[in-house]
Amino acid sequence: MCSMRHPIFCILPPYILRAIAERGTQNQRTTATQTLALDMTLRMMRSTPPAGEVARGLPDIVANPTAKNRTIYTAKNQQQLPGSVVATEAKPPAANADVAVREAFTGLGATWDFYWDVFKRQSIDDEGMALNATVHYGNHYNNAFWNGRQMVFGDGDGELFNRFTIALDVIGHELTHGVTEDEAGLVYMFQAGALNESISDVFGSLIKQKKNGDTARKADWLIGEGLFTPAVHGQALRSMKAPGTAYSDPVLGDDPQPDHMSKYVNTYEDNGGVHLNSGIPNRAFYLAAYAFDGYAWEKAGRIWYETLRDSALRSNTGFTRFASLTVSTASRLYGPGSVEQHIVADAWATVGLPVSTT
Amino acid sequence: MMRVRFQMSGGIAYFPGLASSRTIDLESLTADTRSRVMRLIDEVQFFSLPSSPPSPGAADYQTYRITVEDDARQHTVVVSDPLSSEPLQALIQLLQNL
Repeated sequence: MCSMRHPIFCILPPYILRAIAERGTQNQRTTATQTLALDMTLRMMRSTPPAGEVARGLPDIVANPTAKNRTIYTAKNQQQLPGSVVATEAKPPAANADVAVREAFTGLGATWDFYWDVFKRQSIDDEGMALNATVHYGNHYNNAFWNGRQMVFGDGDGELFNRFTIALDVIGHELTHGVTEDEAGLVYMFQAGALNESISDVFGSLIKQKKNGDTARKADWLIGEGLFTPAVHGQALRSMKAPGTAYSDPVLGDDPQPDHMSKYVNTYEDNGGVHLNSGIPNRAFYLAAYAFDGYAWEKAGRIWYETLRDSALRSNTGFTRFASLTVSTASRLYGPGSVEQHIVADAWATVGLPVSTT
Repeated sequence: MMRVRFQMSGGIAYFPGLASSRTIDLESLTADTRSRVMRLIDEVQFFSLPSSPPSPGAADYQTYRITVEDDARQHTVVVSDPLSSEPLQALIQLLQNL
């Protein structure tokens, strides 16, 4: 056990060392099945403003629905949400302000711009919802999450992970969970949960690609590049182009994502493998975008976005139904029997999900 | 004799190397650490603490599964970020670093 804070033999946090020691000694226990998330839309929740908003005297109604309304809070390394306000539209962070605050503010802005510029969507709910994010959550907290109404970013432990605001696609990923909840309420378990995850990766990646001006064939299709410290053997959290290849590290293990239905992971861990099996639809999106060429948000992104908005996309939708809906959307947008429709169908077939184009 | 089983899962990605559960025998801890753990178990009223599901629409949260057992009783709690109380936050942080 490490008794000093940073002893020389304790480069890694103790829980990581223990993870190494324990790996392979027993099968992972199946975690208790989480209570299914209720299909409760943000439209309902929006009627209750987040704590602090009333106190700050911000109006409930956004005067200009096409304007961003960002607020960044700091949890000051505690775990109370939302924390204290550190930046707003009226008081944006200065150029020399805290880097986590600046990254969160600009990342929320890039995400808002993407949805508006590409899809004419007004924020998460398409009705100008305020974008709230809390930085410096917890102590060396190795995660970023969406709590149902706002984004939350940890600082990382500095040993394995950098601050979680560092990656624009992660910011876009978290906000897109709000979009998915608003449009489809995809239950965060098993295949519907893996689709929920994949949609967040798809639009998170597109937000980064648009910011960088990358075409589908130039983009790296990595999720969370920059999050790992140099101590980690890996490029990113996930690869949409080649799921299962993003990292291979003595501490973290090997990237477990499947890239084909034949490798689908049946598990109760990770809410039924939502971050595992998302590799399959992720790769289908990449394959379609690559085949279309050009900017991935123009055709592939449009087809996935319109599918997300399709009322036929129910909260318990699985991979096959989702694949079929994207092919129908391509047909609706580009014509039955169009090249676009076939490209989408071929992409799904390549990952082991053949769907009819008739 | 008291034992604690602790498992963290979830988060923005699934890392196989970080997913194993472990069992902590309180007698193996120093007297000081043991009393901190036991004080926090008391403070959160662990044996009557209910599990709580994540908020509707939430995603990428970490989930903590804690089982405490002594000679007479055993109780399991499954909770997710954001954690509701400061003593529970402190207990989980302590267990993570043991």
